Amino acid sequence: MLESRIIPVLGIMGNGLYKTVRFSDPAYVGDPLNAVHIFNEKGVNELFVMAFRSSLNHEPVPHRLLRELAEEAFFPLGYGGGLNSVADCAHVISYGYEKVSLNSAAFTNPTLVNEVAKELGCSSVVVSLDVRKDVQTGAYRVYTHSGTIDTGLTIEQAARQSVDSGAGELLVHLIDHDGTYQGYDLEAVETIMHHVTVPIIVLGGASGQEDLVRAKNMGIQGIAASSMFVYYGKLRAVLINYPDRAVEI
Amino acid sequence: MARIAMIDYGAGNVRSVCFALERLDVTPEVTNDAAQLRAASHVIFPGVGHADAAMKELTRLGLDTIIPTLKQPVLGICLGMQLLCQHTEEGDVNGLGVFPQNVVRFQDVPKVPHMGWNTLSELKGPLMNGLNDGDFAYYVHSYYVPKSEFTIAITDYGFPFSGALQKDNFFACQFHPEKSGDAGERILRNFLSL
Repeated sequence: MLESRIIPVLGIMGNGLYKTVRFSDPAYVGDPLNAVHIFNEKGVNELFVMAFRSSLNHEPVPHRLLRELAEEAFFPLGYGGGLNSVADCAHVISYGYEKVSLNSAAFTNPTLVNEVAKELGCSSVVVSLDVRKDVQTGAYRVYTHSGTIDTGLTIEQAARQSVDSGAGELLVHLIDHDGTYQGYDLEAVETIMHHVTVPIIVLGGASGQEDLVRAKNMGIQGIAASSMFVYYGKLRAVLINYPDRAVEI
Repeated sequence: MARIAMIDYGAGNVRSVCFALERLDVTPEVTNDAAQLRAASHVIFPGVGHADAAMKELTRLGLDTIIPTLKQPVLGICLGMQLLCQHTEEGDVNGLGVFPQNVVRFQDVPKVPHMGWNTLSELKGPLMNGLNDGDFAYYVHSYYVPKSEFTIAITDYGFPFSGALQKDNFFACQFHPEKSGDAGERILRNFLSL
């Protein structure tokens, strides 16, 4: 049986590890290399590195840091942030990452997903659907550029378009839940779950084991979280942590 | 003295495999030079990417005729395993034909790609030495090799398929030993001690 994967997400800015709340107010958490080192010891299933605001600020892909992180990581890795060409993606994969995650470029240049999938294989291409619930209509809409630009697409449309272009996995990133510990909005995932056949990762809002279990019980393959793996307790003391593999989630 | 060569044809996971070997105090030579490949004690054939692009590159480098003639232990990983087979549905491409199998796309399974940690069972042969039924390995793939007489490990994804293969000096893993924690390390160690 295929296990659900519990995926810590490390947010980076410059060479530092940061954590945001609703994609804003980045707080310095520490050294990403050190975090990767600790996750190694904890036998992590998989890890995503995400550079915040790269597309928004036109920042280049942090190649050197990504290489250093890969050298330390003995587990599957994904990277997202500011990727906008096949060459960028191929470089990241060549450092020892399994997957690249596209958000802004996937919607401003929809042929890119297809080109990357052709070059690197579908399994290596994740499209990140950064979603916000429209309070008027109740529909989930997809945003790019760190949640600042509305693609005009609903999550269903964006999911379909991404999979048709060759995305091998979708990351549903819940903008308004990011860093809030209010649990996943699983309704957003449910909207697309039965319409696409690729694995889905959910990210944004997890506060503890119950949230992971709820996502798992729904059949979600990738269960991602950031705050809960870098902070401990209500006062958000920095503590890299991860559930013991032996513990059934 | 073991001399490990890693086939350099632009495959995605070369560096992760290098890092995994370095953890075992082995520094591989990453090369596409036929003489160097032939002189190595062990050859690793990595692979992440699309079969068509990869096969074209192997052909351009003239490695398509070299690899099947290698006499030392060869380990194909992921796409490397698929390219050692007869044919793959990915891009409708002919492989190197070491394993007389056709690589086919997953049909009627819950999700494609098959991605994540899954268990190994029905383990056979020296590559799987010391592993236990139920050990986990990390997979990312959309195409698979059906079970056959060359299968040395089974993984179940709604039905059993080949997690690993062996024919003579050719070994292959569909999963990524370089990313599979302790079980993966054991497999790499087993390969190096062949």
